[in-house]
Amino acid sequence: MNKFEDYQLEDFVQDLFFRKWVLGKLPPENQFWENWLKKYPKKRILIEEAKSLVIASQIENIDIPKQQIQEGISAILYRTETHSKSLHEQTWFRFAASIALVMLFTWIYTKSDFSKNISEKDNLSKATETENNGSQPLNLKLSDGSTVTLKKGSKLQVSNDFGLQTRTVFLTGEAFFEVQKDPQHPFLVYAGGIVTKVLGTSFNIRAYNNEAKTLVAVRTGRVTVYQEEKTNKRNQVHNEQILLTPNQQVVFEKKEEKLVKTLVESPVILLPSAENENFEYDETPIPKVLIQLEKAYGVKIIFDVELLANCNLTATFGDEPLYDKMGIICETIQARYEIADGQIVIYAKGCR
Amino acid sequence: MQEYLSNTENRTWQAFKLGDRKAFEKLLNQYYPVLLNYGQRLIRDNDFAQDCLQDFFIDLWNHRENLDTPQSIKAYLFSSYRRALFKEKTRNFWNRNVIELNEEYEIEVQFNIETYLINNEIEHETLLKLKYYLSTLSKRQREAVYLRFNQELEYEEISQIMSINHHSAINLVYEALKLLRKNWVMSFIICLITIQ
Repeated sequence: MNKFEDYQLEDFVQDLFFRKWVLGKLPPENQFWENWLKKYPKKRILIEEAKSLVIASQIENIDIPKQQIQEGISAILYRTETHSKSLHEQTWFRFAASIALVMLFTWIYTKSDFSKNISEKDNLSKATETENNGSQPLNLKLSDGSTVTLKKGSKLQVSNDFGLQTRTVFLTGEAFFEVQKDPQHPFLVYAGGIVTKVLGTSFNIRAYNNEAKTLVAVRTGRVTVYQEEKTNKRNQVHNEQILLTPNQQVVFEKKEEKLVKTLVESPVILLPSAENENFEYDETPIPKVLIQLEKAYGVKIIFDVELLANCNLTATFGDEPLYDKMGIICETIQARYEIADGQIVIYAKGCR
Repeated sequence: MQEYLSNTENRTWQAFKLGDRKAFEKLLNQYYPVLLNYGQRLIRDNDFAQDCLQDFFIDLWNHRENLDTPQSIKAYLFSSYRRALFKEKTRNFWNRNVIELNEEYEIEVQFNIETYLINNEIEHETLLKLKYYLSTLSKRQREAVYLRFNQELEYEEISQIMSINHHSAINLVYEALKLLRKNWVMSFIICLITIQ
């Protein structure tokens, strides 16, 4: 390798082989550079300079915990398993179909006035407004097939260009949304100072004018939430965006203008199936239990695998809420859990 | 050695395309950590980078049959993931002030000496100057240097990932190094201090 003869300082510094040597990554039996220096003693100063520059130009490490990587990989493997995927799709398809049917029947059955109102008003005013003054929740179907269950005393405005570029609606009060998937036309809900953006999913928003908080809770899919932009803050382009996954919710404190990610009050099992509902444990290692719960509820549980490897659980769970299950587990291993940033974090001492 | 490595890599890729779970797991173990490292440097939001990476690999699996066999699997994964990240990000900013893609991204690449200077609140004039010089390195320079030094990629691969030509890739690294070299004496001294 004579090319090194003509090398300048920068050439050495960017050379991967040279860098390996300087940083001690070459196997000790590889004496290439030592021998090279003996052959070209005049280059010693240059090499020393290059060495120092290699050391100085090292890039600061970003530490990613091994556990996080392991969890990430298992999540991908889990989500690409063929059987769970097809099952998932099937259940989903049936679920969606049955909901559609129910919606259709209720619509035909009630023949309520509001639906007429929508089609009539559509041509007249800029935004179609529906207010639920009754005592029962009101079911609405939007032109894209999405459904909205409007709680009593709540109001929904559908923008007149709904479906053109975006699907924009405005909400005061509380409603549950089931949005049809349409990635080309994001579904935007403006409510209580925040914007909730989805492509296709179901979630609940609670945004009453007289309450200090706005809540967005996700049932399925993914949702992005950000603060409504104020006209006088035009430079604030990089508004904080929060991504929510099932069973997570965001709380927006109107006064402090603060978005906080947390978990919903009672997380539900995502895909009811034999695998996800069989909570029988007999001397089962705690990490295994936690991973199963994590999958069933789609909620991230953070714990130290090594620390809990020797902890076992013998118990049978039924349909009690997730937090009760967590409470029982923590009691057995004398640990405690906290909910932070939409995740469950376990603080434990470990078992002998 | 290089030849041998690329051969086994190639075989893993072919097996993966045929739906071999073991091969997929092997790819994940090899590339998930490095891609995550890259993604977290490109996007400040760690969760976002991770979510994107998960979706990226799931997509990869679902479309495995239609994938080409790239010359460099690493470069292919890096460039596709980078694209996916930015695409997802612009989509998140959809209907809001969409900024030119190149301007929008950030890169978290800090040299050890920089951290040293910041942490120790150095007040010496020459060192302050060095700190200033380092801070003038552009995002693209930092990204290219990172891909070269930390990910140990060839310039051909870097140019593919950053969608620039071969020469620009080399230039980005060399310009960054020249800037560092200007101050290499200082760097050397600092390194001695740091090591002690």
